[in-house]
Amino acid sequence: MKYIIIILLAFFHLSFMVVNSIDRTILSYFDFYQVDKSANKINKDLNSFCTVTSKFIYLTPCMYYARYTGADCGYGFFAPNVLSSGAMSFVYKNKNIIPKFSTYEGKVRFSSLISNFISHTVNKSSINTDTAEIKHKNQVYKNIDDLNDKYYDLVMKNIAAKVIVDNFCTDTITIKLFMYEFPNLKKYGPHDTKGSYIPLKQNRFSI
Amino acid sequence: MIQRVVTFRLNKIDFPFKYICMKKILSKYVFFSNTGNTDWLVFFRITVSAFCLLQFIAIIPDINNFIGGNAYVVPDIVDVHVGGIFPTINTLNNLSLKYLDVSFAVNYFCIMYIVALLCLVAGFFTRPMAIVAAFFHLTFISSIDFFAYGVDFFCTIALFYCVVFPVGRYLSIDSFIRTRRGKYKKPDPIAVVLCLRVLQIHLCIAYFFSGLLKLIGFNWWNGESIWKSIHLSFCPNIINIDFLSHTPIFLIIGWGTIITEMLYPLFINIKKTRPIWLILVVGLHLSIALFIGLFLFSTFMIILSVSAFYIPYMKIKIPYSESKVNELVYANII
Repeated sequence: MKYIIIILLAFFHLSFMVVNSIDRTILSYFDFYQVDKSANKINKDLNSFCTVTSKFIYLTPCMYYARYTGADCGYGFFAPNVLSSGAMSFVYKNKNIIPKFSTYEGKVRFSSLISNFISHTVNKSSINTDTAEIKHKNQVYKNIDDLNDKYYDLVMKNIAAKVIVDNFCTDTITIKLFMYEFPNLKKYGPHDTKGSYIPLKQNRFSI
Repeated sequence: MIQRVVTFRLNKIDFPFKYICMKKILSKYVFFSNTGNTDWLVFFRITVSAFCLLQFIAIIPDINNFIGGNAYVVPDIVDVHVGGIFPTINTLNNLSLKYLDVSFAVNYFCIMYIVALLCLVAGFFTRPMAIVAAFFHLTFISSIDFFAYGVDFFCTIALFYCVVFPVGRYLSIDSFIRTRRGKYKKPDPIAVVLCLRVLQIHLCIAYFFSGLLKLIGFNWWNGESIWKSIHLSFCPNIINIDFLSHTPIFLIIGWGTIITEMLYPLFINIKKTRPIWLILVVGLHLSIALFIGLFLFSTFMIILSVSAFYIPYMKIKIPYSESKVNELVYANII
């Protein structure tokens, strides 16, 4: 009996991870290629599969279980596409301020924060189709996007406050969010060897 | 085989008949067959907890930038993002220590987490300390939600396994104490094998889906993703291979990564190809460390693969029974 219970628990744990991974894979595919989920039978089936699995994964007990055991971890590192990295620039009285970190790990973690901003700015959830149902969904997504925008503005304001305090700034500070783009393999050549910073967002904050 | 028969004959004295039958049925299948090596449990416990300790110590000089009132993102804003599914240091502080300063709560948390991890390394109150360490780790990554990345989630998984697996039964202070008191009990070999299989299957799932997701992205087919990965703004650029841009090397590496990851579940489980695939995976993670600069993530993935697919299949001749070894080591310490 002891073995059966252990095997059942192990089976549940591993199955949960498989279901979660399949769900994430399908959703990543839909998101990456901006697929119309009702375009053909395969897409419809995949979408209905995701609807069922998502309902299971997002059940409150399952969410807690997954979070506590790490079973909710996605494995799509650098996939399906490598998200562009970015940079945050803090300008105070025409002088560029660079956030200081004592450790390399600190810098890597700060780049995670910037990646969050890039991901939020690039991946808006609204979709461009004209049916009435999609329009309604779009409105819902737009509201979510607006809320997220406000939230990320608040985070940016918080970062600005920290930079102001750390650098004893007494006036307005400008935060710029850039996306770093390096020339791709085809474009890379003797005349194009340096990456460029594409401005995404700019906010000014004062005390 | 002989070892297994001997084990069962010895166990027959202690366990009821049904239990032995179940054991025999399970052990007939390769899936549950004993690899004969339990060192992976020791290796897993020590490396995982030491790694978590190292990872945490690596961030301590900057901890005030990430947690607490003077952080880049203050705790109240982080709490909204976390969504209450797991407590952060701030919510714990509000619940229990609200009369104290947040910075005190952070210091208190740091000390508790480090002590729990040290106890786990030494195998002292192993399971309770693994629970405490896992809880504090989750609290830590919830508190730095905006700054968390891949390695943190794998640490969560590994610490959860430290809670569930019998990692404290070998080469630990717990086992020394139990041996001295004459209460040492070897863990059930089938349960140990089952734990190993869970870890192995977990890694197979992780690598397979990682490869599958890469296969979906068309930029992985032409080498652009590899090119982009090594030119991210935070990459340390230790080795510059830009002069190879007009060669098919990036395309080969891209497909190589997909094939290595997707076929990991197959070839890592075949005895003859296991060493090759292990070398390929270790090479993949060393490349990630060298070119992308994710040193901690790469180290941890290597630790997991080695724990699951190298240590359990190592052939080590132990001259004494494990309890005898424990006694000897204990005697040396005394």
